[in-house]
Amino acid sequence: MVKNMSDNILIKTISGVTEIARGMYTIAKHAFRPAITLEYPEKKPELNSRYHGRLALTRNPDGTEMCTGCKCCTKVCPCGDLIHVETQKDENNKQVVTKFTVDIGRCIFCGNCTEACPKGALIMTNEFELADYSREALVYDKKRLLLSVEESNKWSEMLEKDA
Amino acid sequence: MYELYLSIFNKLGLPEILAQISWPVIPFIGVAALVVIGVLFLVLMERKVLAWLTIRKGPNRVGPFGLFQTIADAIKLLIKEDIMSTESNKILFTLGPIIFFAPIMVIYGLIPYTGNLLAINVAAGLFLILAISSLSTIGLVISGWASNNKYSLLGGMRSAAQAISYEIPLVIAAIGITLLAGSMNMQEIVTKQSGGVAQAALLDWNMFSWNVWPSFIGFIVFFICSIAEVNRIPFDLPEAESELVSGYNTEYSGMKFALFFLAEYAALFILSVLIVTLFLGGYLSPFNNYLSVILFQNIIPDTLSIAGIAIAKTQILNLFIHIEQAFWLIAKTYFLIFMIMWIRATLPRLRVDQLMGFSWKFLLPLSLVNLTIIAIYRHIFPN
Repeated sequence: MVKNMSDNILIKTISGVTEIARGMYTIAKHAFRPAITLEYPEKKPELNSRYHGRLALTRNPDGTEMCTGCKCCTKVCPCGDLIHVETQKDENNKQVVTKFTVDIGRCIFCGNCTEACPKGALIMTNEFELADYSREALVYDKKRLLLSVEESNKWSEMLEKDA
Repeated sequence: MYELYLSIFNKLGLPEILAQISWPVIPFIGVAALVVIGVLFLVLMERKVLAWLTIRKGPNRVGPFGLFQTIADAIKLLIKEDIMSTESNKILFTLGPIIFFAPIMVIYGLIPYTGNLLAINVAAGLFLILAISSLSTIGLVISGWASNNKYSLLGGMRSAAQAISYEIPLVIAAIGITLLAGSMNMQEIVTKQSGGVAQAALLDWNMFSWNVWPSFIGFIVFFICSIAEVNRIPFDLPEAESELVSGYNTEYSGMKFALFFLAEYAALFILSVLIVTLFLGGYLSPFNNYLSVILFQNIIPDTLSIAGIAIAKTQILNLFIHIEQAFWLIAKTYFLIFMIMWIRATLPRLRVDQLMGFSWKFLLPLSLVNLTIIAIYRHIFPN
């Protein structure tokens, strides 16, 4: 009985010491890895094109707007009247988008609108620093949403590649 | 050194009585400066080492490499409002951190930093240190009770239970040291560890006559118990964040919280110094001679005069030896502190019953085994 108990304590002690030593060895190995800290304001993360950032409107390669004003995005939006689209018929009886506003302040960045868009006109960029000084400033109009031709090409390429 | 100090006063034309009065004050000023500067550095070191071991960067915003982070934190704590809840016991609430801090400050004066740098040389220094260090727990219990907060009270009670349990193996491990040294005087405990084991090459290094070899189990027990005494992970039950908010210092803010913080790190430093003094040869060099003697013996001229005061070569060498002794002590201490931080980065917190069981069922018998081994060792080698 006594022998059993002393054996038990000895085995327990040895196994405890080895386990602690193993743990400390693991921690010591961690010391030689580079820090995973990203010093954020100075260094920005490299984000995938799948990232759900600020919404943007793309252009055709010839510089015209891609959006046709079908209003698919407004219908799928889970936040209600967050996306606002107004259209007009021009002289050739073609629909022209006159107003396209997105209230980023209420957007939940679900990405439903970009998936619903039949032309790939509405996309999500990598931009995530969206803080502003007023709620009104967070309502993005068409001018702020539209990308340049080069940026549109870049984004369509990236989205195609990652799809 | 005293003669040198006197001669400086004589040269400057100051009355000798001023030198006589100011001479004993110098160590205390040194101790106070050591506490504050040591703690400022230790807090930064702790954060940096922990960050390093957990693949982070740690504080790096204030000053180069975040060196001034603790200074900024200290200033923030000092200018904060001192909040006291209306239901707390005002007198005891204020007294708590003071009682916690004062004994630790006293221990700083009782430990030999170099051959001569010892503020108070007491015959039973080790006994006094152990007695005083257990006083600081009263401060924790008082502040826990005076806060009128269940978490604070629980933290205070836990710290009392922990201190009582871990004091016993700690003291028994220290008894082994008094057996080895044949004295309780701290200076003598250190000097008894010099000389090596034999007169042969390498074997006469001080390293081999440190108390850690005959009393290795005692060293382990003392090390574990002192981690528990300073309430650090894995024994940080008095301030277990996940259970007790912050334990005994839940209600404290501003200056009083800063005092708790200061005392905790001061205790960590001084207990590491105590372990080094008792087990690792204190300020002694691990080699058979001091490096500065070997290096500077032939460089220093026989007599040197600085500002008209003649200083003999032996005095300069003595000064270098003192600096080197302080260096060895600090190097060994910081190695131990690094070990404690490494343990903190590795181990999770114990449960209360595990904590108590570990002390009473494991460390106490182990310390008695150590005492027996040392008694037999002393019987075989009665030098």
